Amino acid sequence: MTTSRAAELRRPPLSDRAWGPRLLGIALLLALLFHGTLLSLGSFRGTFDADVHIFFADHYARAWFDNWEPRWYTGFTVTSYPPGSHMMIALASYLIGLSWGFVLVQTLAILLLVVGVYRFSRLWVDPAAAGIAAVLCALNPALGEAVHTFGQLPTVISLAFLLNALPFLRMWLLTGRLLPFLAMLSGFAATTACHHVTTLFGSVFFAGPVIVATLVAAFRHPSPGENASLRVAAIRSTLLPLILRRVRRTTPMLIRLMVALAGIGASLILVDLAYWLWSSSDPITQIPIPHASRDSYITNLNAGLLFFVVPWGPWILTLPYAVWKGLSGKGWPLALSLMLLTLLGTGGTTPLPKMLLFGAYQILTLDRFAFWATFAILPFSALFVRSFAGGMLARVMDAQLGRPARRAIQFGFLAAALGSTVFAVTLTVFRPIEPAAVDPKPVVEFLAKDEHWRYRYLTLGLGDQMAWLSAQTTATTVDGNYHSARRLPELTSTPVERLDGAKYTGVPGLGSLQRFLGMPERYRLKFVFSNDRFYDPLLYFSGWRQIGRLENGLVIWQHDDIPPLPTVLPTKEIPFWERLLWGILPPAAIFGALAMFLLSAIAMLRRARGPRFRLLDGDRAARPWSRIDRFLERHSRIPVSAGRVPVRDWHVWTSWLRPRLPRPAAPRIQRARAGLLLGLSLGIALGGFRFLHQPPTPDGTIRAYYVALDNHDFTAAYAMLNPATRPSPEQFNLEISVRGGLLGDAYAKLDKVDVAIRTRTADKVEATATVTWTTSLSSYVSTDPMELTQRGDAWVVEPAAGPAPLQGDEIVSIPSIIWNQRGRRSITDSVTPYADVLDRPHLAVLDARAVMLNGQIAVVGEVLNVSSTPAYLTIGGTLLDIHGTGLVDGAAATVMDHTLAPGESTPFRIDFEGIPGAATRDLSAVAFVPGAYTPLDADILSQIDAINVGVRAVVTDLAVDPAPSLSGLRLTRDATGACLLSAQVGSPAADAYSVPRLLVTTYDASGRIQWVASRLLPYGIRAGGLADATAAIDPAPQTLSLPINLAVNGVPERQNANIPHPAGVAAPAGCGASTVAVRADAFPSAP
Amino acid sequence: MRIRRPSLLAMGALVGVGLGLLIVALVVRGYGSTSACAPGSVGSLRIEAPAQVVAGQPLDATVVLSTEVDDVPVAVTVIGPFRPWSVEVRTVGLTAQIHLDAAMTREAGALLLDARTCRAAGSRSIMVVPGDAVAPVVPLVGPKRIVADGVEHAVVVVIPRDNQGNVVAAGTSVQWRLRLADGTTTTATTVVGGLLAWLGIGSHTTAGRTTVAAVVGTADGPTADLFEIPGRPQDGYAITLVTEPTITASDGAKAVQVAELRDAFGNLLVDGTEVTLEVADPDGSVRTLGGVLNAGAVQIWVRPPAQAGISVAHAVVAGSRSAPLSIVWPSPGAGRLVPVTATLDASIGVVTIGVGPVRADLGAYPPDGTPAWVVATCGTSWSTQTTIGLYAGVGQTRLAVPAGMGSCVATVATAAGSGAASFNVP
Repeated sequence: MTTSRAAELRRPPLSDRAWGPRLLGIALLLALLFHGTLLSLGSFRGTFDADVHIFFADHYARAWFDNWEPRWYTGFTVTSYPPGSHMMIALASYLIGLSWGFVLVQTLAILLLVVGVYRFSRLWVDPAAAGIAAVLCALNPALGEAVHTFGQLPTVISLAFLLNALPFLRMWLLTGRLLPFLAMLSGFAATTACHHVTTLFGSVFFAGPVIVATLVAAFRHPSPGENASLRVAAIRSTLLPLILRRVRRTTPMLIRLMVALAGIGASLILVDLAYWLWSSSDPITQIPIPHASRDSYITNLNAGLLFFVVPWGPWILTLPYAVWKGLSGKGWPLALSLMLLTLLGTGGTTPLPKMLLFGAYQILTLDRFAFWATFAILPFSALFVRSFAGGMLARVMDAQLGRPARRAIQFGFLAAALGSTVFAVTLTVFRPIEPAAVDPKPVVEFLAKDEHWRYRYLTLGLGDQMAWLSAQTTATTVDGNYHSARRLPELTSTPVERLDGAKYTGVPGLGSLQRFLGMPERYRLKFVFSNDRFYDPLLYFSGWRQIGRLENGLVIWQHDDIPPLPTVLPTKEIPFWERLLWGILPPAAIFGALAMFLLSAIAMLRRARGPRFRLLDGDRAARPWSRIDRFLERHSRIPVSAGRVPVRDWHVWTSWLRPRLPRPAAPRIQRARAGLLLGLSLGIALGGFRFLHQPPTPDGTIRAYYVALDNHDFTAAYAMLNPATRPSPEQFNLEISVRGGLLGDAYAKLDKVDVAIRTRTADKVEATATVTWTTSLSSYVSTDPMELTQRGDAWVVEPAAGPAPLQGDEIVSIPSIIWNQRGRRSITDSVTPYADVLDRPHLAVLDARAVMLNGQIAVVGEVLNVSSTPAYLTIGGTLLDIHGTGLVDGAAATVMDHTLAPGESTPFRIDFEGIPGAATRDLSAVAFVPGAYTPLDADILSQIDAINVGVRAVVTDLAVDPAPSLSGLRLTRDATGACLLSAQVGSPAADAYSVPRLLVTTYDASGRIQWVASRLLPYGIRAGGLADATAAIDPAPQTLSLPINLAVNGVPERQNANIPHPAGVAAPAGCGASTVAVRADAFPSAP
Repeated sequence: MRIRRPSLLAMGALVGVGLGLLIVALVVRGYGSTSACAPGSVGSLRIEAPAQVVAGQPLDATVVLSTEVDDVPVAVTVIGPFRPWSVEVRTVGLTAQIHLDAAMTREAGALLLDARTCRAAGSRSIMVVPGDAVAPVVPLVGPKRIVADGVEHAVVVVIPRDNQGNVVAAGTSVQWRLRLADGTTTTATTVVGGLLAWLGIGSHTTAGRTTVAAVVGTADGPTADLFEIPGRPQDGYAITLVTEPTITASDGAKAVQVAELRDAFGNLLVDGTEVTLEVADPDGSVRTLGGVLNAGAVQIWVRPPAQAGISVAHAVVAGSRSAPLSIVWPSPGAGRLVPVTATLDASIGVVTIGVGPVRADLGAYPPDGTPAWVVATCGTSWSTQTTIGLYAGVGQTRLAVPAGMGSCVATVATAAGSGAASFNVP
């Protein structure tokens, strides 16, 4: 065998430069088949962002030059997000619709990205390695996750434009030709048009290394007239000439760089000009939205999985190789960038990203840095793959571990790489991140008919699909899916991304939602489409009523007595020229970039040279800076004698990084090492398995039991019960289903479980579980005694006692009244005739007075329906200053009964609460404290002069069943002196109660109302059943001497003090009240 | 100098756009449309037309010139209540004829005819008056429901219109015909003023439907209904225990009936009205039980309380309280002792209280679900209570008791008897 043959055999596979274009073709085909097919099959449905981008695209498809989008957040300007990618979808939608438009644009973006990776990699590695990088790009798990899990389009398409622009940047720096300049400039402009953040940060992490590498290369390239053959040591006499020599070498390039940066900066400003103007005039002064990418990935393992483990996959193992490879060659600037990106991509795991990013830390989502890192590493990963497959790494493995082990490792890595990609694109299948897909068509049709679009609507539990729904209707919602555009203080002052998913943001989210549901007339909010029973109690007790279930399973809730939206809504239009630029420049930049890329490709294929800038070309005579050049040339001359001083290589690290291959191991040692490796792998796997399956402690068992109940995994919960004492599975499920209620049904979400072990013996544990549930109304804490028994290795829970049997006969007759509101008696599509419009029911306000308790200002009172028809009540109030100007609005949302039968009365309480953060720009001062009442500003308190209270009603045909019965009502004082109300609540009606509630009203000695409190019972009541209830009596509030301007159905009226309030229970001395009356109502069992 | 083709094209386009804009501007300004008077134009003119015309009738008017000239263009502008209209007529001799068809006189009000030649002008105002009222004359009542207390009132309104939709002339008489809730009929007459006619209707004391019709000339229309609804009942109305037919419940519950509930004027309260029964029990606790009137009455079941004795019940309807009703709950007797056990687990501070077997009538177990009220008391400083439902005559509950309470008693009361057990908490 000849030497050349041997050398060829030692060359790793895919080293021939001809493989570059071939591999690029393979990568494009792979990307098209893999990503294109998945997208066509609808993988983007159920992702985080795809529907939002489609919504924006729908805006441009409907009104290209209109900046105002009225459908979200009571209106917002779309100049708050770069429009490039959305406009591309909008254009495509004219031919193939929005969904397929998204698929087409996303697929093209991926293909462009593959080309971009190839071209970018060519700056660092040989063509074949660049081809491998392109293939790796197509299979990059980060790309798969970004596209098929996150639904990101602007990030992908902007990176594609950026990577394609960078070779032109380098070409421009090297040659100063016009064509690369224009291609580079248009590429950056297109990047900006799609995603300005990519331009801002991409310039640092991707363009930066290219610029540095190009400049460093220019350092070493002798200028004309320079004695390049003379190697000179950097000594005192040669230092200045050497510096000037390098200045001279790079001066043209630096000038071109200045021109390029100026052009990029200008395009960055100009293309998204309306965005920058909006950003400066309407800066994002909101409570930061928590994003899991800012969490520590060690404490929040899910975030770590989603934002670090999945995007990196096994390629994180190649990071040391990439860094070594980069630092030991010309790719060191990219290697440094890669290290920085990797560091920032670790999110909040270390404090370093926060220190590096300053204020941007709270605005940026840090997963994008990990995303960029997985692309920055690709040129080196390609080298790794080649070396690992048959190059140096393969040889080292052969020599140290033996061939079988090497093959096993190679196979394992290949399987892990492919598996991670498949896992990334199918992540939403394994771990659904969004609610199940819901067909929006029934909602769209509902909004379209009977002028329902004249009111605002809200979705609950729909997830990001709400954007897809919004894209198909012209109806408006107070919510939205682009939090940067939120405008209402009720939203911007809380860290809630979307009201639709309020339950996932705990009490702050629910607090915001309660504001909207409690004062819907303020926002013209009439319809709620609920996909989550969790919100049912809040909706019900806020006065909403179910009007039916759509074919897609969504339940429609309606609030009566909401005025429709005005025909013309207020808009905030930007100047015409801004809209014109916004509508023209971004798509022009994209099409311009694509045209320039194509033109450059044709020119390259034809080996044509574009025209040069006269100012910046290499023709010395034409250089305006020739004087400087001559000056530099003159002063950088080095005498030949200087070459006698020996030159010492100061690049010491190159020797540090030089690979030192160990000697080949003997076969015996190879086998031992392979065995050790195998054992180590098995040990890790086994350890991990045991860690995940270690026997639970009593504490862990109790927590697991509640988690199972919370997840409605009753089989798992049953399995944790003591087999010796537990009932049959059927009995267990029966008891669970009967118990129902706020905590028993799906109305509560487990927040935390605190376990206190009271006693512990060898096989018995008595514990108290303090369980905090988040319900849509408030946090609820239940304290449950638990008993556990040890069986084998495990602890099992002793079952609780089942529900008590019902009292009375097996069948009873319960008369009830059904009301039927006819509506339009003639079938007509014209305005409802006057004769078919019902009067507002007569109401008598028995009492209303202003009080303050613990700094909370409220109006408490009582209303009686004196009409002959059932009434649906809405009660609100406004604090007025001395001029009669409204200061703060409030509503009796959940502290009243909204539906009254004739002759029925209800107490009410209107709370006046400040909006967190509305009066301050200091974001740190408005942290939301769960359950806290936000006091009114001191200046508002000082201005209150009177209170307007409006009570109004419309006729309703809701079934008004008798109120729940109350028995055993008594007031006692406990050892601490606190007053406690105890009672038994019963269901005399034929319906079961899902969430019973007590309205506790206290009266003073003069018979005037003092305070009204709402107390929810944790569990439901069967029809005919009873449940114990206890409620603490609030202390007596301070009475405020503020005049109350009362209006009933819009007509000024006085309180009717002639009608007595319900007789209550006499309160013991010290309770702060004379009597206490209790009224029960209930959210009936869900249909 | 050589000029490139694109530059030529650009310059051409610019010139073209400029010329186009110039032409558009001239057209908009009306360039070239000079209004030169024709020779022989007259110096003055007048319009001859009737002073008024009924809405919807055609109108003929004549423009009379001062000198006889043929074919002089006369621009006539008709300014009606809602829209102007222009036409050009030409003179024949001394006059020019103007014809306004029925569509031009549809709206009642002033109509101004303005005629102009290039040197003379004249105008005339013509009053378009509404015609007679046509059917339907639709009375509108508001509010539609008032309390039949002799105090509240409603208003009925009609807006009578002619066949062109104009409101009839002010002063037109409107006759009202009313059939009251008590069956009597009455009439009244008012006149149209301010574009409508109205009549105030005071409430009477008989609840029911008042029907109102309005007639204007020969035109009539549908009726409107005004409902007079019963008010609140007066305090002290009677409630009774249901005794006939005898209804017995397995748990010993008794039915309290509120029947024929009437307001102060004797009107029967409407169905659907809520009735609340407030029951003060012998042990001092209170019950509130609800029901709704159905066919003028309601029956509310009252279960036996924890303690035998007399409960006092009041019905409350719209704030009005009934006369009290005493409900006697007989004692189960001395022999009805309920077995009670109390077992303390001091290590965890929990007492388990067992009840039963409880014997009721016939020496058998009481019905399943019969409540047993359990109260644990330690001295005078601490007590707790709960209710359990008996099943097969027995029941059990666990109560947490603080340490160091000393001597305690658990008492159990059921409808079938009571019992107690003592325990000590160290």
